Order: sequence, then C-alpha cells, then structure tokens
Amino acid sequence: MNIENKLDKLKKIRQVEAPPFLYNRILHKMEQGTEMVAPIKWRLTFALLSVLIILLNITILIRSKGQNNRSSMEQVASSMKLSTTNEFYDE
Amino acid sequence: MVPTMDNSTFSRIYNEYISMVYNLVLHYVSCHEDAQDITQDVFIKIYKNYQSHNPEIASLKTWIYRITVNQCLDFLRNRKAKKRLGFIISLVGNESAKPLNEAIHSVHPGIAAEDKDELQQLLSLVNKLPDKQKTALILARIEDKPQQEVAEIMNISVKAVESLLQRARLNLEKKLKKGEGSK
Repeated sequence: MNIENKLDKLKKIRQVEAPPFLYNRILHKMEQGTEMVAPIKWRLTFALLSVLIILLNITILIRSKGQNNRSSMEQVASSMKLSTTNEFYDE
Repeated sequence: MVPTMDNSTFSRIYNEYISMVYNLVLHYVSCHEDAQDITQDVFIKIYKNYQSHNPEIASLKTWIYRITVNQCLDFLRNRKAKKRLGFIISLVGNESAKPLNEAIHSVHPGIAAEDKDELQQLLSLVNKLPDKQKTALILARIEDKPQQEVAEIMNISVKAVESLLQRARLNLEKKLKKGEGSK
C-alpha cells in the first residue's frame, strides 16, 4: 500500500478528553512548588551566614593553636592547684 | 516560585488549551499516565514562564505547542536513558527495567479497536523516527496542521518542514518494508 494512504489513516485517531482531575492535580503541584522553594533573599542570607560561621571557626582554631602549648591535663592540674610530682610530701 | 499570572488567567488558558496539549502529548507517548504527567509539567511551565512569552514573536498557541513538543521530547529522551540504565541494572539482577518496557507498548486511547493493530504499529514506527521528523509528521499528518503552522511551531522554514516530511516518509517506507520482510 502507498505510504501516503497509510499516513492518511493516522487521521482516524480520535481526540481524547483529558481527565477532569488534572486541573486540581496541577494546582496542587504548583502549591507544593511554592512551599518547597525558598526565596532568593533567604538563600543568600543562609549562604552568607554559613560562610561567616566557617570563617569564625577557622579564626578561633588558628588563635587557640598559638596560645596553648601546654597539655589539657596540665592546665586542669595547675588551675586546681594539684601537684604534678610523684612525691607524697613536699620537704 | 513567583506567581506570574493570576488564577483566573491560568484557568482560562487551561480550559482553552488542555485538549490540544493532552492530545498532542498522547501522539508522542500513547499512554494515559505518562500523558497526564507531561501535561501537568507543560501547564506548570506555562504558569512559571508566562511573563517570558512575547506575543510579537509567537502567538500563545504556538508558544504552548513549542513547550508541549519540547516537554514530550525531553520525556522520551529521559525514558530512553532510564531504559538503558534499567537494562544494565537488570543484567545485575534488579527487575526495575520491566515497567518501562511495558509503557512503551501501550495503545493510544484515541485508536478504535478495529484499527488497533494497524494504527498502533504505524504510530510506533512514527515514534522511532528522529525527533524533528517525528514532530513534523505528528503535527502535519495527525494534527492536520498546514505546513506554515508546523514551520512556526518548530521555528524553521516551510522548506525545511517539506524536507523533514519527505525524509520521514522515506524512513517510514523503509521501516514498513523491513517489517513486512521480517513477517
């Protein structure tokens, strides 16, 4: 059979009605979309805050490294005025 | 998401174009469930991008046609990629590839029972054509649009549409002969 005749048969495909619930489904999905995406201002603020917190942490770490060379056990012992020697009595 | 049109405008556009969009999508996917998902995405895109539509460049109808065609082609590309991935996974032992294969073989709901075999076979051959040829053929032969309108929707010249239709016809003829030969 001629290809043109075959292709003409495609016109026999009937129009189909879209399901009536589709409109509500679309509205529902759009509402979900508005809830999920945060505004750009919020996202920028959040990003800026995160960077600030990370920078603050790095600064504290660098500063504390330079100041404290003694071990933490020694610090506790000296602050509580505990002796760090093995002798029982000071003579 | 920033709303770009009020609900009454959206409702009017939906009522005016739902049948056009849904039926065009069905020509590409032949399956109610997939057609519903794609139609849903098309109308969300219309809602989101309504402000970017310029009536001087394309009419609302043409713009909606373009969105629908692109959404269908994206869906088919994704399905193809998922099918490939599913096949690889199924080789390892997972069965997740099966439903995707079944969806491809579903029958267009607009085809009458007496024409089912012949028309569905023809439609599935149309769907195996390259994207542009397939779109030109669907718009010109199933949707019965004049070549000028097909050219506007596809954003190409009328000559290019003619050439696409000619190549689509030749490809289909080859595929049909191949099909008859293998029987």
